[in-house]
Amino acid sequence: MADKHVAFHKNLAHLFSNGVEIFNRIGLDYTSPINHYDYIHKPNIIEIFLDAAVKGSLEFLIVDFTENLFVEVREPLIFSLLQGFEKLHKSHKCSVFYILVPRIPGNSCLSITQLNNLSQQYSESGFSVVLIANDGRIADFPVGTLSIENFQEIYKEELEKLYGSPETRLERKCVKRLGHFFPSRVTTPYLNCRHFSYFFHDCTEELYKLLRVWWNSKEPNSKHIIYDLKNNRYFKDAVISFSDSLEIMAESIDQILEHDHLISEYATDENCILVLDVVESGHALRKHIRSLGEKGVRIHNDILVAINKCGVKDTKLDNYNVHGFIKRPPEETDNCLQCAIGLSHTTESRDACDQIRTFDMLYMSNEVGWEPEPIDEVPKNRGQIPALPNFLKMIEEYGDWLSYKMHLLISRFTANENWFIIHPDEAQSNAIGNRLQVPLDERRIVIKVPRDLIDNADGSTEYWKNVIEENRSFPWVAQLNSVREATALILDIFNVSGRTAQMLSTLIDYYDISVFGYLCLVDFNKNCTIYGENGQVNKYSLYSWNNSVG
Amino acid sequence: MRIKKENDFDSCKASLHYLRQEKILNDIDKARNKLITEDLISKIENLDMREKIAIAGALQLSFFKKENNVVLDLFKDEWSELDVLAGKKKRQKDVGIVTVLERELRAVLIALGRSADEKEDYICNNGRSYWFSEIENEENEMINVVVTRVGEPRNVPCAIAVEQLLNMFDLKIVVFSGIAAGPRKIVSLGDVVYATKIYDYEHARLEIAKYFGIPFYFKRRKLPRPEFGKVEHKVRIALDKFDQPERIEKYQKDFLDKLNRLHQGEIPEALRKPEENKPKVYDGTIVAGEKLIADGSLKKLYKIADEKIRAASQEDSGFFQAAKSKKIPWAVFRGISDYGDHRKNRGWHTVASLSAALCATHFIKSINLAKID
Repeated sequence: MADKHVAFHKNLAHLFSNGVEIFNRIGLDYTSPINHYDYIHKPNIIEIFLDAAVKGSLEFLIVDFTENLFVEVREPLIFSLLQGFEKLHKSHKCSVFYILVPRIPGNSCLSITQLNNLSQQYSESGFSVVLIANDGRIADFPVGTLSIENFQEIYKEELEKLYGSPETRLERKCVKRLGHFFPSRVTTPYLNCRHFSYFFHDCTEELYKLLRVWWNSKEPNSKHIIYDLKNNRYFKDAVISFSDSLEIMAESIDQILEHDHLISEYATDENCILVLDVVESGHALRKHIRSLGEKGVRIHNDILVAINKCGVKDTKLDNYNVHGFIKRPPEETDNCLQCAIGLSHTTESRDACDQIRTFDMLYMSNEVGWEPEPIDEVPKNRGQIPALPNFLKMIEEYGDWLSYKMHLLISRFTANENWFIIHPDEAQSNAIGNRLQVPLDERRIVIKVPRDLIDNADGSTEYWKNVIEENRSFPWVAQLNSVREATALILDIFNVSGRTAQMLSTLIDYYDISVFGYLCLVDFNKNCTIYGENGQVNKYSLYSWNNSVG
Repeated sequence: MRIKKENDFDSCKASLHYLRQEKILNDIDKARNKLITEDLISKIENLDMREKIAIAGALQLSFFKKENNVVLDLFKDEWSELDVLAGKKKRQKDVGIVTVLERELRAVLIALGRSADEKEDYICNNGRSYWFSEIENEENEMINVVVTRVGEPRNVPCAIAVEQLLNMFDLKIVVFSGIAAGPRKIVSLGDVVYATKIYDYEHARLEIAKYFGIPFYFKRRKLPRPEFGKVEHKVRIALDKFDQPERIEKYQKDFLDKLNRLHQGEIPEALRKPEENKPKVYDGTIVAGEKLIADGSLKKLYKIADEKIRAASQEDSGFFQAAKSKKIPWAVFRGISDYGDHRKNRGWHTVASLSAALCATHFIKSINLAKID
């Protein structure tokens, strides 16, 4: 993730300096976000940070808020930033500033007035600030500071490289839940139960963009949208925002069928657009078309769905073309194995338990295969575990769901917003740490501590004191320095003896940071206890695997 | 706040399933199975005694099967049986048929295509016996039927038997098949009455009579307060299919076929030419009390219930009240075996039982269980 940010900032710097290679990041040797909680809740930290971080003289400075929500980039934050800019300008450290924001604030905002004032006040000395929105629009002070041809397209392209296309982002936000989902239409057990259920997490923006792209490509001569999106509130929001932007009507199918005035309104349109959350067998789609047809409502030949579960995005169903934003393979639903075993059903709307069910854990384990614990990853204090699921592959295949479950677990157990993640720097932990960033909106600081340093630790703070002295220039130490007011979540892939977590807890103790929990995917030793600065650390896991290895 | 965990019994069943499925090929497989088994055993500790016995039994059997390659599977791949064994779940059946007398049970077994003298398929630990059968309905779906016998007349034993049946089995409808007395000249022996209403006519208030507001202590009076049950509308729709002539014809043909399976001694003299005495099917009110009516007082009950009384029995009140308390739809079929007068005898018992049982099975074949449920 950091590499992508570095590339993005480098490309922008290259653009702003007219091709001259001047990229010189401030303070740190890598791209590190300032702790999100700090700058949202204490805006003046920006001013202090800028003052402390900018050592030499800079040609220009880029401040990146592209990942923030618009509401988070509030007036006090911009004000604090402008004060910092003013100080840098007065001390001749930097005079040209670029602020990357989600949207340009309105002209009546106080920050815009302040920007105008500053640019007029220091117009002689070359002070300039350019606000760049995520859609590529700019507001420059003084006007004409940024004059790059096709800048809007170039910037959008760069952002897309960083965050991926809406389709890619939607793919990442689509969670494949495992469970035993009872079909709502059928009442016979053993038939039509599903093992997987898909849902999107926080993706209104992506769906809105994809809807617009689809609409522009099809250009349907339609003034009405009909939707059935009971299980997908994000898509519903996107459809409603989109219909508002085009000033056309959008209503749910249930409402239309219930109200005569809506039927008479929709019956006037020969091309009503039907939008559904998922299509698999086409049963529900045909039923909708039939019931609407009986009332005289005609549907456009092109039908839009969020997920096409026919294995391809575009399929033909009777005379209709079904376009899915993402595709998923169809699922075999005959002879439900879980019904045969006698397992209880899980609900579609929410998970009844925080942990993973044994059936799902063993299913995933068997799918990804078993192998002995890699010998180079075995800590010195215990022997090798002869068989473990291939966790790396498991995260690759089911990481969306595992990380979402972790996110739910964390949300249930902490009300505190100001926390960061710390884990050993190894493939499996890195993989789950990265996946966990998706439900956390990619805004948590993740600190990766080298595995060999954890292995060599003796449990004393003295050890960490020496290590930190020796590794002062390394990113993880700098990150730890920046999160002193936050609380820590120790993350690991599995727990056997609790040593890794204990060593990380000691490291965090050295910084006087409190630990709010230790979270692992599989806990092989439910009896082990981890101690932190404030006593016993809460231990959470997605699966407690009781056995003799722990 | 505690972590919400999966039910341990479900966890054990899942582990057991994977242990049974996995083949042991190498050391990794052995180690994997050891991990799963250890997890399973630790979770067995949290189960209650019945769950423990069910899982431990299945675990032992699955290893026995695997190691000896013997096809010995108590659970016939129906793992949901583990829930039944552990008392967590009812057995899945569609229809329950309740009978009282031995000959009523035999008639039902014949109607279901089984031998009349077959032993029960399952004896519950409370001593109640159950017979299982499958019949194909008109939509070519197989319907699982469970039959039980109350063993003694009267409402209370019948209510207990229905309660036990519904506690043991997950049913969509429960049907009573038996014999009863019917009003002479309105119904004939061997005919069948299906209940549209049931009156418990013996429920009454006894009080001192009053004349002009003054209690007259030497005279008492009885105010009937009948309990009343009505079949559900969706069941009534299915029952009323017996109005269709082709359905009655089919039923009568089946009756004549099955009559041959009775011993000659069980067929009354009047039925020696059965083609001339085919049973008819009536809808009507059934009155149910604790007394066996053999004194011709059946018609007096018209005042308490209604004039559509077509049969009088001793069990139907207990039957419908037990079913109603479990919110299970019900239906009652009564074969007329006598007229409830001094000429009452057992001559028509077997034939009336058979005609009621066949009517009940034809009804079961005609219903759409998805709509009834």
